[in-house]
Amino acid sequence: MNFKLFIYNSTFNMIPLEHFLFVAAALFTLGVVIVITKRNVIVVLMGIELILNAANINLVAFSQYDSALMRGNMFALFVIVIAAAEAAVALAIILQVYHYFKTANIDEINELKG
Amino acid sequence: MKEDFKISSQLEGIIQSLADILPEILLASLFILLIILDLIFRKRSSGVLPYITLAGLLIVLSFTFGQFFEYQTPQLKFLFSRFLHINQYEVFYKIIFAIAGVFTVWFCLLSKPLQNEKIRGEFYATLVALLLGLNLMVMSSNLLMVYLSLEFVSICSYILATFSFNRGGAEAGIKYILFGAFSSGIMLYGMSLFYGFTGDFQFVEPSYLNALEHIDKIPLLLAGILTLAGFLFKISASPFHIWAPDVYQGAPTPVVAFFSIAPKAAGVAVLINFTYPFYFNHLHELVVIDWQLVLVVVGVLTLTVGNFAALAQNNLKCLLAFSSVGHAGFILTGMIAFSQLGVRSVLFYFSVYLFMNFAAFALVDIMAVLKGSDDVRKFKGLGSKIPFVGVIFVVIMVALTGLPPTAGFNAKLFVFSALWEAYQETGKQILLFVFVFGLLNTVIALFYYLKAPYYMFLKKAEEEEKVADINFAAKIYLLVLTVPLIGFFFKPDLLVNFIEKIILNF
Repeated sequence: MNFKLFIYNSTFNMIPLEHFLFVAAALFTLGVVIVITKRNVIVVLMGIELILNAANINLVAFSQYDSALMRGNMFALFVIVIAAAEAAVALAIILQVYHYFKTANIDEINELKG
Repeated sequence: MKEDFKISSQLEGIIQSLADILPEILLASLFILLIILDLIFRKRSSGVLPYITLAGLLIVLSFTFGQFFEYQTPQLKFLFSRFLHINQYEVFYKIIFAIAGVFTVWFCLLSKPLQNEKIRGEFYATLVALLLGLNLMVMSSNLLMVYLSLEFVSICSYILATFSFNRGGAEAGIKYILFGAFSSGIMLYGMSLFYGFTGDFQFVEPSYLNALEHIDKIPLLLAGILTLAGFLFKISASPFHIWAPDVYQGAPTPVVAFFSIAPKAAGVAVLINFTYPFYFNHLHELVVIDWQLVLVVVGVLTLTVGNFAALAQNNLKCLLAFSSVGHAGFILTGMIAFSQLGVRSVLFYFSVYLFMNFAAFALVDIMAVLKGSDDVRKFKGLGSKIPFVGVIFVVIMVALTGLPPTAGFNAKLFVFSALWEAYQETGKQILLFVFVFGLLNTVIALFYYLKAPYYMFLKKAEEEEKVADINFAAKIYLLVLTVPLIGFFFKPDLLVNFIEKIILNF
C-alpha cells in the first residue's frame, strides 16, 4: 500500500492536476465548437465523443485524490461503455437517415417543421 | 469503512437489497421474456405480444402499489452499497411510470397508423426496458447511477422514436440522438467537476454538501449549470427543448404520448433529488448554490418559449409538443417553491397531466386516421358530425389550458398556491414575478388550445363528406382517460389525500 501511494505521489509530483484539467477543458471546448459548427452528422458525433472523453480525463485525474481511489476510474469505464452503445444506436439511425435522405448533412435533413 | 469492502458483506448487502427492487426485477424478466417469445414465435407472436406486455405491466403496477405502503418512514432506505435508495415519494413516481406504460401499450393496440407499419416485438421489449430505466433513474442516489440510468432511458427513447419507419421517424431519431448525446455529455462534464469538488458521487448525503461549502461560488455555479443540462433535456425545458417539436412530429403517436409524461416525470424527480438537499440540509443555513434563481430563469424561459411558439402552430402534434414544453414550465414553477407543498403540487400535476396528455395524443391519432392530417384547419365542421370526439376534444383542451370543470384547473391551482406560499414565507420578489408571469401564460395558452375546438364547432365544412365514427374500443379508451379528469375536479381529495400522506424526507 505504501509503495502504491509512493508511486501515485511521485507521479503527481511530476504532472500537477491542473495540466489534466487544462487538457480536459480544451477538449470539452473543442467538442462543443465541433457540435455547433459542423454540419456532417458523423463529425457531430465525433465532437460528442470529445466531450465525453474530456469528462473522462477529469474523472481519472480527480480519482487519484479520492479516498477510495477507484471511483473516478470506475465512472470513466462506464462512460466508455455507454459511449460505445450510444454510437452504435446513432450509426444505425444515421444509416436509416441516409436510406431516406441520401445525405448526412444535418441542414438538409429538415422536413419536420418544428 | 474497511468492513464495507469485504466481499461477503457486499454480497449480503446485494441479497438483502433484492427484495426492495421487485418491480424492477419483474420488468427485467418481462423484457427478457418478450425478446425470447419474439425470437421463437417470430410470425405468430406479433398479435399476442402486446397483451403479454399489458399483463406484465399490470403485475408490475400492482407490485409497485404494494411498495407504496411498505416504505412509510422518513428515512431513505439505501440499497446496493448506497447506489440506489427508495422511499414512498419515489414509489409514487414509479406508479406514474407503470400507469403510463399500461396506457401506452393500450394505445398501441388501438392506434391504426401503428398497426399498418407492422410493429415488431422489439418495440414492446424496448418500452419495457425504458420503464426499467425510469424506475432506476428516480431511485438513484449516486451520480454514476444517475448518468447510467439517464443514458439507459435516452438510448431506449432514441430507438422508440424511429419506430414509425419513414422519413419523419428517421429525422426525429437523428435529431433526438444528436441533441440527447450532446446534452448528456455536457452533464457528464459537470458531474466530473462535482466529483473534483467533493471526491464523492453520493449526492443525497449531507457530507456531499459539506464538502461543497469550501468551494468558490463561480466554478460551483458553472458545474451546477452544466450538470443541469442533462436533466433539463429530459424534461424538455428551454433552452434544451429544441428536439421536442421534431421528435413529437416524427415519432409514433403512442410513443410521443409516453415521452411527454414518463421521462419528464423522471427528469423532474432527479432534479428534485439533486437540488432539494441544498435547501433542506439542517446542518447549515448557508445555501451553497442558488438553484432557485437558476431554475426561475429556466422556468420563465420555458414558459415563454413553450406558450408563444405554440401560438403559431397549426399542426396539432407540433402544438402539443410546444404545449408540453409549456407544461414543463408550469411544473418547474411548482418546483421552484422549494417546499414540501411544492413537491406535492408537482406530484399532483403529473398525475393529472398523465390523463390529459394520453387523451390529447389519442385524439391526434384519431384525427390523423379520419382526416389523414394533423392540421387543425382541416377539422372544420367535424364537431357536429362526430359529437363524441368533439366533446372529448373540448374537455381535454380545457383541461390542458387549466380551466374548470377539469382537474387541469386544480393542478394549476396547487402549483400556484405552492408558489404563493413560498413567496409569503420568504418574501422573495422574484417568486412573485414568476407567479404573475405564470398566470399570464395560462391566458396565452387559452388561445392555442381552443384553436382545434374552434375549427371543429364554429367553422362550417366546405364540402359535405361522410366521416366514419370511431370504434367502440377507442371510445372506451377516451372515456377512461377523460372521466378521471372531471372526477378529480369535483373530488380532488381522492388524489390529494393520497399525495398528502406521502412522507417526504426533505
